Amino acid sequence: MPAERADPVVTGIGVATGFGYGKQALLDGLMSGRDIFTLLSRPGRANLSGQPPFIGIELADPPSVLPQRVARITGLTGQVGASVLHEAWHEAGLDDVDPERIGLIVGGSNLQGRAALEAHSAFAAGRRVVSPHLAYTMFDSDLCGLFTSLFPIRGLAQTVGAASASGAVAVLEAAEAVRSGRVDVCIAIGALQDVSAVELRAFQALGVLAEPEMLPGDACRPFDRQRRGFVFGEACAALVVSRTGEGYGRISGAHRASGNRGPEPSLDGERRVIALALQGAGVAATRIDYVNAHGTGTPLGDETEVAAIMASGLGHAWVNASKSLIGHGIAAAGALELAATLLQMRAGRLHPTRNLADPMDGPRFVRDEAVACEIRHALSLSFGFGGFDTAILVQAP
Amino acid sequence: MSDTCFNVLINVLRGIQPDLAERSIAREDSMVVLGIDSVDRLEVLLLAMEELHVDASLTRFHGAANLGELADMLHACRTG
Repeated sequence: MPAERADPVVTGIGVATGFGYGKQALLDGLMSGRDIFTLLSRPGRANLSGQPPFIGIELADPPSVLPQRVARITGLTGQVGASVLHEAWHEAGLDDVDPERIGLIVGGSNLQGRAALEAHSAFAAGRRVVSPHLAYTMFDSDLCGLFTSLFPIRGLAQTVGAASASGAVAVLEAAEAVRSGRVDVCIAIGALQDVSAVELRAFQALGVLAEPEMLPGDACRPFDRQRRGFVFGEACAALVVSRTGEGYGRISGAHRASGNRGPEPSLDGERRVIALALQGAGVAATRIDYVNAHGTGTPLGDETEVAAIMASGLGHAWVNASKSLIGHGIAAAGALELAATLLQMRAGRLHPTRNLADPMDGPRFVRDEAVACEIRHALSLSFGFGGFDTAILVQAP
Repeated sequence: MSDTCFNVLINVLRGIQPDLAERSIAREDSMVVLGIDSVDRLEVLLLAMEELHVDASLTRFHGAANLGELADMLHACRTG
């Protein structure tokens, strides 16, 4: 039987952010506008001696969903991922679905920087024993092995990497796997990027990290004229993308390469994916009620995104930036922000954008207070180093 | 005597699998019977070798039928 080409629907969501574990914690936290930024303190995230600590957000310990023997050999990325997958799985009722018809796409690459740093440091210091478990846990794809060993997923399982757009690309690939008929349900995960101090120093060297001298709560300020860069925030999201069901909304979208290597954003690339997403869904720009912006807080990134939003005829739409509240989850960001979009759509409210005291000209920003808004159509934008541009269009049920 | 080696093996084993803390473990027990998977078995051996300052190829320990035999092999490496 030929595959139905209707856009798939999101039927389950699981999330973990600095606001806590679960959808309600995220929605409540986003609406509150509460400041949860602090100094990073996990082992492997200490800055060089004499340098200010890095600013960001770290998660509480995940709820225990792993057997003790599995937990021992599973890093933070896997433990948090298992927790959010558990939440999404049960909301979507996947126990009743044929495992052969369930797929998994994990978004993210080089996810376990802290674990790598720890192993490399011990080796460099002369320790002879390297854990044999590292021979497979070092691969990002070990997350596929972990999750498919915990849950009856027997269709496709793979990772996709697209830097800060990884989570969004995972969702789009999951949607395509469902749309094409390859599986009936595909779970997309925006994995927790467990960055190390070395990677944070690299972001600092590149000039894209907010200045550590700033107060933690003041540093992350997307679309504000005083923005200085992004602030890291641990996060993870799982979305169950299904052929049928009521769910949160139907999704479609576009993912294209801009041809840029490195951090440079592309106005043409961003405009192109927005146009393709609108065209693909048959939705005019004037019907978009809300844009969940990539909004990292980097000077050039935000400037380019504002230009893309305005040039795409979206000047009327509400715009907010979830990263202003939960930080930049890097690999997780695109999936997490799509989850935030769907939760806001269902709630009929849009969260504030923190620290937007002096906004850039152009878009209709949600500033310091949440606003009530019926959202029929929304866009979630994500872009990644290496020229990854994505736009996901959501249509309310 | 290989008792020292056996005790190191047991301590490492219990460190890796805390759920074995309350279980008595004899020289005749094998790690397979104790439910230790193949990669954990290698990790136990590597950590025991490190603690006992044994520097030998892992292939030398193939064929140990139980923890007692493994302890004997480690002891032989230390004294040989």
